[in-house]
Amino acid sequence: MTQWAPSSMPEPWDRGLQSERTTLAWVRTLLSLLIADVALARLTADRSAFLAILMLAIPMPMTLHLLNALGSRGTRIERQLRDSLPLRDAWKFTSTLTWAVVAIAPLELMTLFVT
Amino acid sequence: MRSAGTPGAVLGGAAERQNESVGGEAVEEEPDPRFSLANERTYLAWIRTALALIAAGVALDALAGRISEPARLTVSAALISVGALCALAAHSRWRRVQVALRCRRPLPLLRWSVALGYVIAVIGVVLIVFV
Repeated sequence: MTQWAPSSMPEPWDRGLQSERTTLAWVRTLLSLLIADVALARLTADRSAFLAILMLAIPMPMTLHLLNALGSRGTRIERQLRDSLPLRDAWKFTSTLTWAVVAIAPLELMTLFVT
Repeated sequence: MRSAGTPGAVLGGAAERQNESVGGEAVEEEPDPRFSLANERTYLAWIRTALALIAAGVALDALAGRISEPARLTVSAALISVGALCALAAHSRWRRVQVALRCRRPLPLLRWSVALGYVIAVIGVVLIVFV
């Protein structure tokens, strides 16, 4: 049975890896969003070119902005971890990503029922 | 006032960093960075689930030609709506967990994951019946 290490043991984790794993999770998610956005816009284009353009115009810039900001955020987090500084909440990142995903839904519902 | 202590000296050691009020009473603590980052990764996993639900709804409508139109529209709309709700709920949960970590409170219970399982099961049954 696995047991927790006693608290007197030296720290068993590398702070840099935590940051790297989180950055990779962000990259996976943003890549999924990017691909899904293009694929959904392509499927929508057969029914309504206008909605397809909207689908690219709204979530795509948000996703590209997040991808662009991700590199500097990863570096900043790693520096904060190594210098034992408190991490800043990812409020702006999570809010932007949530709205980028949520924005797709009404456009797709419009495609379903309007066209 | 925020004071940075020695994080990571022991498991959960970063939790020793404390934000203290003027009277010196601890009201909020800097959580272990591992927990904050794990919370963020869990949020991202939920967002990918939401995206998969939305994509499934659209793909069903576009590619499933053998299903009757009312059933196809209903199931597609349900999947897309559940996906959007899932994304909103994921963000709300990320925020609540972050607050709980900072205040060293127990993490809030996750009730809607069970509901999500039931919704997906019902959608599956509807698809089986109507195909």
